[in-house]
Amino acid sequence: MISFLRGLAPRTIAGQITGLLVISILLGVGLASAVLLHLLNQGQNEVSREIFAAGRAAHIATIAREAQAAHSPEQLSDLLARLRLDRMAVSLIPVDGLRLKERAEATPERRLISAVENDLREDWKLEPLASFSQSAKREEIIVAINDRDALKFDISPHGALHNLLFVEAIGALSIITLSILLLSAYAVRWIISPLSSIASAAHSFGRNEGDEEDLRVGGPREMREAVQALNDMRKRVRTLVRERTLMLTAIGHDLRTPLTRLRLRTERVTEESVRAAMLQDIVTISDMLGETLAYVRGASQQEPVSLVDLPSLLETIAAQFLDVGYEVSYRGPDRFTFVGRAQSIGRAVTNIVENATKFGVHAEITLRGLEEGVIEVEVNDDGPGVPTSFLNRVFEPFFKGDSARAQGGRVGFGLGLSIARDIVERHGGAIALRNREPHGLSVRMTFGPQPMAADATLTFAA
Amino acid sequence: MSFVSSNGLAHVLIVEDDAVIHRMLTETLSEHGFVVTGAISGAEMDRAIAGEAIDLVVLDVMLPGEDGFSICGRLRQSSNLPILMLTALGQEIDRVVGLEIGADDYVTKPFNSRELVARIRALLRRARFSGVSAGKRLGPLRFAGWRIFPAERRLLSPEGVQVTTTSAEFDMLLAFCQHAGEVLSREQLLDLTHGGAAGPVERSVDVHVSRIRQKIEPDPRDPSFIKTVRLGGYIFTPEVEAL
Repeated sequence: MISFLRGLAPRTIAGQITGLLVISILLGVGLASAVLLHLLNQGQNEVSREIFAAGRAAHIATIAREAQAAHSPEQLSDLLARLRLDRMAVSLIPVDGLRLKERAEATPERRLISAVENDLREDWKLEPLASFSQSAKREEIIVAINDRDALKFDISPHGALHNLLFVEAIGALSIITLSILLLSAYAVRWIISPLSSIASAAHSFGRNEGDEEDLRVGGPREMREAVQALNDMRKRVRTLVRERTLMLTAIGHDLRTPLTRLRLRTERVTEESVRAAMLQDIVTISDMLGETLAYVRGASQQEPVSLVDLPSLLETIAAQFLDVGYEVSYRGPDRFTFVGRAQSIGRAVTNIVENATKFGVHAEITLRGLEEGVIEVEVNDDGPGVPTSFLNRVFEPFFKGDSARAQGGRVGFGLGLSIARDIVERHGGAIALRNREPHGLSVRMTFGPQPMAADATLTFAA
Repeated sequence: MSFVSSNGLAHVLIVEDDAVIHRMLTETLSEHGFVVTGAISGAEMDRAIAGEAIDLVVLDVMLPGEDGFSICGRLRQSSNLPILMLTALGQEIDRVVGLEIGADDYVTKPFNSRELVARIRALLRRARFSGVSAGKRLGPLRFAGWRIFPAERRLLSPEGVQVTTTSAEFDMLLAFCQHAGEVLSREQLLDLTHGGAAGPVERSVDVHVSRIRQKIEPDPRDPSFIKTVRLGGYIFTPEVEAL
């Protein structure tokens, strides 16, 4: 039951606060009306009943006279329509079939109706045809206006009170509730809108380059404190990332000098097999350093967006691998213009092809244009594929699956796929791995078109 | 001006602060027939250039005091000496920075000394062949609506679309642009493209030309920009103008 109610509760803070306000107002008004009703019932003593009865009798007499004076059925119905507008409980009934002269007993319950009948008779010289008191809530007096028709009046005080309370009060209440709803929605939005900007700042952190500035919002003190805390946290995270970047960059740089010495010395080793093995290791270390630097820089570097001819980019990648002895081919259109970052896309595809050539003999790069300017680059190899248990983990930085299968001992840090994924995601795309039949791996990357600065093409022309 | 006569020994100045690398580079280059002078800072380099006829400078980026980029920029202002930079950065962007400042080529540490020697030779050949120093900065050029930016190593199609090339293809296209209307032999083209010293698989000039055609020709099967000259080599037909 409680969980059901909870399910009904609004999800947003604005909704909850507005809901609470509306419920409390309705409760307040409801209680006030109940008290008022009770007091009115209590107040029906003799004096007030006589005054009420006199008022009723005068009312009935006036209407009956007017109705008797009516010359045509049209005039009569006009009158009734006007009375209905005034919310008088009056209706036209035929005289035939009425149980005439039926008189209610003057019991305590029937004191009001008797008082009205007396007043009519004595003050207005009107003889009611009949009167009914079916219940305390329904007391009626019937007055003839001609031979055929009579008017039936409901004189119970509740009718009027009900009208007052339930028609006008409900109207007023709806207006009040509606305006409170609108006002509170506005006020609540004003109070809690900082929360939304906090959320979006937390979301975008690390994804956009332009969010270096501190988040600034007004609002209540608690909100300002939360913003301050978020700003502090962003600053700390940024410092950590910057330190990590500096450290890795420094390692990458500083290791290159001793590695260069080692390489130059190694080249002088006379024993052919030892020299080849040593050079291979030096190349591996150097590649790992390059990979680390590329990974670290990837996050911090922003390449401008420009019009890029993708086939030439992919053919160039294939050619670079071909020229160092790998079988890599390109398949796709001869010309295809895309709005994006050429170097980043090139880096992502190169990493994937690099991986493919580590495990397979032949790799093929395929380019396809999808809908809405999105492009898909697929790299297929004929290697052993990736064990299913690894498929989800290969994108983790420093993850190395079965590196023993790599050909020629080419081992990296396991950052290539992470870098590729980061680049693809910065292009609003996705990357997916799939094993091929009978063997091999297929890596499918999509890249979305990027918004280009208006003067991007002119940057180099200027 | 200091130019190597074709039969004289080229004089290379090495600016490198690491003693071991310095010594071994000196030995390697001497073995390959270069005259080598050493310097360990920008100031020493200035003295060496003032005192001797230097043909080419091998400049390390990471030097104590004034760094290699700054030395390179300064040197470029006063001289057209070919400059080959040794960098530990190895990123495309650093290469662009180096080439923009005025370096003619660069090699990433840890480098292969065979490749270094090949690049030094190619730079010297280029300087000799061009008739002007290789160090002279080449501005952007335009042919048939295409624009080529040598410093940034960028190629833009008439529609302003960036077309990517390998560095050998770019060098070859640049050589074509500098010698438009002339018949270039395969040997000359090889010289102009750093001797293709990059990898174990030597690509013939024809392969590079066919790849360039694939990328820039309106119809690669019926080339109109780079035409084959029977028994001669290739000729670049579009008119080339400075931007």
